[in-house]
Amino acid sequence: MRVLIVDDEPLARRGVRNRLKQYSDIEVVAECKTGRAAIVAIRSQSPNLVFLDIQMPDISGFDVLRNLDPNEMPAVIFLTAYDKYTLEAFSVHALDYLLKPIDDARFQSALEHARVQIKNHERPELERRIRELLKDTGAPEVGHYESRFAVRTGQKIVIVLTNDIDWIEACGDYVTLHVGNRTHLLRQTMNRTESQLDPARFLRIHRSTIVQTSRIRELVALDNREFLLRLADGKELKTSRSYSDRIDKWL
Amino acid sequence: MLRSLERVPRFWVLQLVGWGAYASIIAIGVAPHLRTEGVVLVAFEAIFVFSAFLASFPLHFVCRRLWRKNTPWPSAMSQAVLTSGLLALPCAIAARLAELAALRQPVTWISIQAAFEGVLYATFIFISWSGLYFSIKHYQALQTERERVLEAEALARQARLQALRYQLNPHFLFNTLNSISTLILEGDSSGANGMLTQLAGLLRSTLEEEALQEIPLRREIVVAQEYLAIEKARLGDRLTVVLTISPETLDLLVPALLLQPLIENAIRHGIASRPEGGTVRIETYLVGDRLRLNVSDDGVGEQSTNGHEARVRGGIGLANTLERLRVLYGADHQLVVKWPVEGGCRIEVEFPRALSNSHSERE
Repeated sequence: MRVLIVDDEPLARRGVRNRLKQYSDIEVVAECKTGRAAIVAIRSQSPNLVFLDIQMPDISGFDVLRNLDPNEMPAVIFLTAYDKYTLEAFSVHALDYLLKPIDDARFQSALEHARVQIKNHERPELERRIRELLKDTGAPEVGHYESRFAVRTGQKIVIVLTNDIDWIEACGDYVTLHVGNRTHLLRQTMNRTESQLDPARFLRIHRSTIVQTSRIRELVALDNREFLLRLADGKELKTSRSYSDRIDKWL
Repeated sequence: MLRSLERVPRFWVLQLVGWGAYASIIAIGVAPHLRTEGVVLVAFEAIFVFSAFLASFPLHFVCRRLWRKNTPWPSAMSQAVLTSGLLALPCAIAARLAELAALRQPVTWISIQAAFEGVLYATFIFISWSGLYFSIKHYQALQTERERVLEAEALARQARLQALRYQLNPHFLFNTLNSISTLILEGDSSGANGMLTQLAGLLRSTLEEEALQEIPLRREIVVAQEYLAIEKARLGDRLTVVLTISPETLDLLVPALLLQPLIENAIRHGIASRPEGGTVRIETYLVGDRLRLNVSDDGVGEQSTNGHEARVRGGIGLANTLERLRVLYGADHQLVVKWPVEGGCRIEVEFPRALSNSHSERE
């Protein structure tokens, strides 16, 4: 049986490899320390079984599986340190997983289980269950946030990519989009604008200010749970106390 | 409580001093007329003051009842005024009787009626007495309330800090245990033992150190190094650590477990999420009479990533640290987070220097 070990921590990989030593029919074809390397290795080595860590630096174990075609999907034993929700998902879809630190008895039974599945050619069934799991653990939808605004100026309509916006300022019934050294006036309210933007990238810091977090160069904590933000272009923005919960959460 | 009693003398002291003062004022007022009206005036005033003094005890009883029953003030006031009026009557009559006796005049219904002028005056005296009584009671209550609020604030502060006490990241904990498990499997008992000792040290620190507690930087560095040793074992050569500790900062006080979450933040977001790893720098030095601590990484900066790869900073680490600094130092601290253009993240913390006790003892 051809086995691939995927984990970013060297000691964790050695732990799996050492436990596999006692099985003469098992060949460890490769070890990967990143998710991307794992995708490449699964495609080139086509292992029967993959020990797959969930939390990895570049892309998660789930994302590795998402990137595979149906015919590439190997049997998988998941490795995880601590994640209540993930564990629930494994149980729901009857997939094998190992908790760290690894228990020898559980390791053995998970391995035997995988061996039986591979021998009985249950792969299509396994693949279906993995796909179900991936649906459950899927990243939250990102589609419903605007990626661009259409700004009418006189006869022209200018398209402003949200990614290019440094910060947004409220001006009465309008909002001003600050893009580099240019500004665009958009006729809509602050609250509506906030709801259209991905909260992972845009942070409301004031009743009249939204800032793209990637533009923040410096953050100075002031009294009264307020902050002074300095943006890449030198612009200074003050957060307001009433939005301090959001800022704390972001921090 | 004892101190508030010292501040406000008890009822008896006040009662005697108050009436004594009142009697003295009367005596001074009477003195110029002694030659002309001598005995009569003395008899009248002495009996008036004495009977009023006696009457203030039933008045005290009534006022105390009103106070204790938390009577609403309009009702308490009218009852106090009524009582004052009722008590004024016998006082005025007693004084008039004394006056009549001194004048050697017969006690008739008509001659006693002259006392009623005095009733108004006596009523005024008793109303003043009640007013003073309620004022003092209010003052005492306010004082107690203020102490209670202060105490509650202190307790809340402590509780808040207790809640903010740093807790080890469960991921870190279980991954470390897994590393130890591997070392045991490989028969590397000294390696396993070393890692266990470091983990135990770190656990002990997070369990033992009160959040309120400030410890010498020297000890904080030891805890940080225990933590860093474990991370190095886990991350292997991906993690490089550079410690630049200015010697004069070693005995200064820092909030217990201040550095560890900052370092963890740097490793988690700056290093662990980069397959090629990186460097964590920890610097401590003095800026005037303030202690400066910097923790920086050269990992993934917010800027260097685009769109979907945007680095997710945060978690409880920084908000928690900030809250602790606020509670411990009030406005007298500074926390600055910088994301340099080259990438990485740098956290600067600054607060007043304070020497640890153990150090001053040694001196």
